[in-house]
Amino acid sequence: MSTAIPIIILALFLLIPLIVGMWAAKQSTGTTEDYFIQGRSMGMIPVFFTLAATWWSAFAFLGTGGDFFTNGVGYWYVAPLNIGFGLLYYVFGRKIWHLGKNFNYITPGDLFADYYECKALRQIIGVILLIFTIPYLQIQLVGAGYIIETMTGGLLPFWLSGLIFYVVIIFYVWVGGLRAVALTDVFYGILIFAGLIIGGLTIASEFGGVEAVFTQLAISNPEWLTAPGATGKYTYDYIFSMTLVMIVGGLFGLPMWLRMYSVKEEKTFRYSIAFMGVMALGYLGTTWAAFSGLLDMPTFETADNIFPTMLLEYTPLFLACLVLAAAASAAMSTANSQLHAISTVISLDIYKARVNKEASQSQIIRVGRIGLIVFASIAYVLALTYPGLLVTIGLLSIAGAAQLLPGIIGVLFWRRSTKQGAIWGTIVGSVVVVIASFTSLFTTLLPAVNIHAGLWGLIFGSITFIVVSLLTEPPSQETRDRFTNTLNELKY
Amino acid sequence: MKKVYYALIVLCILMTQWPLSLIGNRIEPFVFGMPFSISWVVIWICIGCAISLVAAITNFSEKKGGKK
Repeated sequence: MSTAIPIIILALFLLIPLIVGMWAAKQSTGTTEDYFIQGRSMGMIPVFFTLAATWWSAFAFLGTGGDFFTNGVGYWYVAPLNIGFGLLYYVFGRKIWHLGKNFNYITPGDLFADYYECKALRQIIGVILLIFTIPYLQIQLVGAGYIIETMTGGLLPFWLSGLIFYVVIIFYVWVGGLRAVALTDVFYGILIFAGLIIGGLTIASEFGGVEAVFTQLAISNPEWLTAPGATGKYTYDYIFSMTLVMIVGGLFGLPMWLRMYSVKEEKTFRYSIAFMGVMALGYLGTTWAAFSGLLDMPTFETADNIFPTMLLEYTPLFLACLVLAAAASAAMSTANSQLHAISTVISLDIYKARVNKEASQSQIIRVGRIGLIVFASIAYVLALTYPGLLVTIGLLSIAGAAQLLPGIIGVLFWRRSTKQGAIWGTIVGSVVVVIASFTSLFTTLLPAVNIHAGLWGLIFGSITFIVVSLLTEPPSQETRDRFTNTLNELKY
Repeated sequence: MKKVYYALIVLCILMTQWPLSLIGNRIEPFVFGMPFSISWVVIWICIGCAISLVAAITNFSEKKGGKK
């Protein structure tokens, strides 16, 4: 395989974000609010694309392709989660945005600590989100490393691909903050959507087109074409729980919080439902590619690589490399947002809130940048040590973030909620997620129930939240009134 | 009116969940060149988007009451 084309495309793909990052740095005002949430001035288009690009991770090309290839169409029944995500972004996100604007919140911990009148909650929420974000960051690096290695035919090995990938991200997040992340995400978002659809269509056309592929599969592999699918994974209870957990966990993951606070106009929230719904259609490309692969090489072993493999096998090298660059973009656009969000929590929830309460704006940003490098390094070492498990780890991270739901409902809707309820509800939910993910406890006790670990966490977390709240004292009347009145301003 | 929009959007998601998904969970007929199982979901995503877009344009058909 010629290596000139992949290298040129890769160089361009790395160069454009660097230029965008430098431009973003010039627009910066040097304040913490500007670096972390773009001064609450992000326009509708950057918000949409940064939401979509952050949501589309390496999973969109690799994990999802592998899932269709192995299990069949089942994941499609989860895909409407994008609409659910948009709806929740409107219902919850708009309220969180309004509170953030009125009370100057930057991190999720700010909101919790303020309402529940508990400074420790800031760190508890921050640490829980950090713990669940790092593995997700790691799989982006693994995904991008593999994609670039495949794209260059092994010329850039996995460790070097990952390193280049990180250096570029660190550079533009370092100089440009959220503005650079969001602007590069516009570029990435367009590239990913186009890459998914064009890649899938081109591959399927090699087998006579989409209809021909499915017509042949209806004869050779009919069990792949309906739920629960070839392996029986997508039972109805599993589909329901996975949809719910991904909607909630997707919205309350660390980077999405910043994408609620940073919004400039209220109408952004309204239009997000339709936009996110359209973005779900991008998975059609993955579907066409994976099912063409099933037809062509049914015994292919590394299912996660089916999309890249089919691209290199059946499309012109130039196109294959462009689509693979889009796949690396999916990983990169998630990793950049996560790294930026992690640095926000480190500098504000931990450094400013605990270590140096009098920290200046430049000190806070400096600590954020150091946190950026430290956590990028941790994820890099983890990626080199445990280079695998795309789907499992990704879902664990999302399930963890979903455990914030009871506490948020308390802030926005239930004035009887208490700080003890929020703390224990979140902790119990998170612990149950880990237990349900790594042990067979629930499947042994309830073998007939096949629900996602995140839903087990939500069930136990919510019960704990309600019971503990009813047994303890809610925040002061003054705080509750302040929140009720501020939220009432939004009712129309 | 806002609640009606909410209900319609949620309904589009529920159409792809049990038991309503049973209607779509089959191979035939092929729609858009794909098995009905996939087309069924695609159709409801498109309907959901259309409803959401109308809701967004009309501001959920509600008039501003409180101050912004």
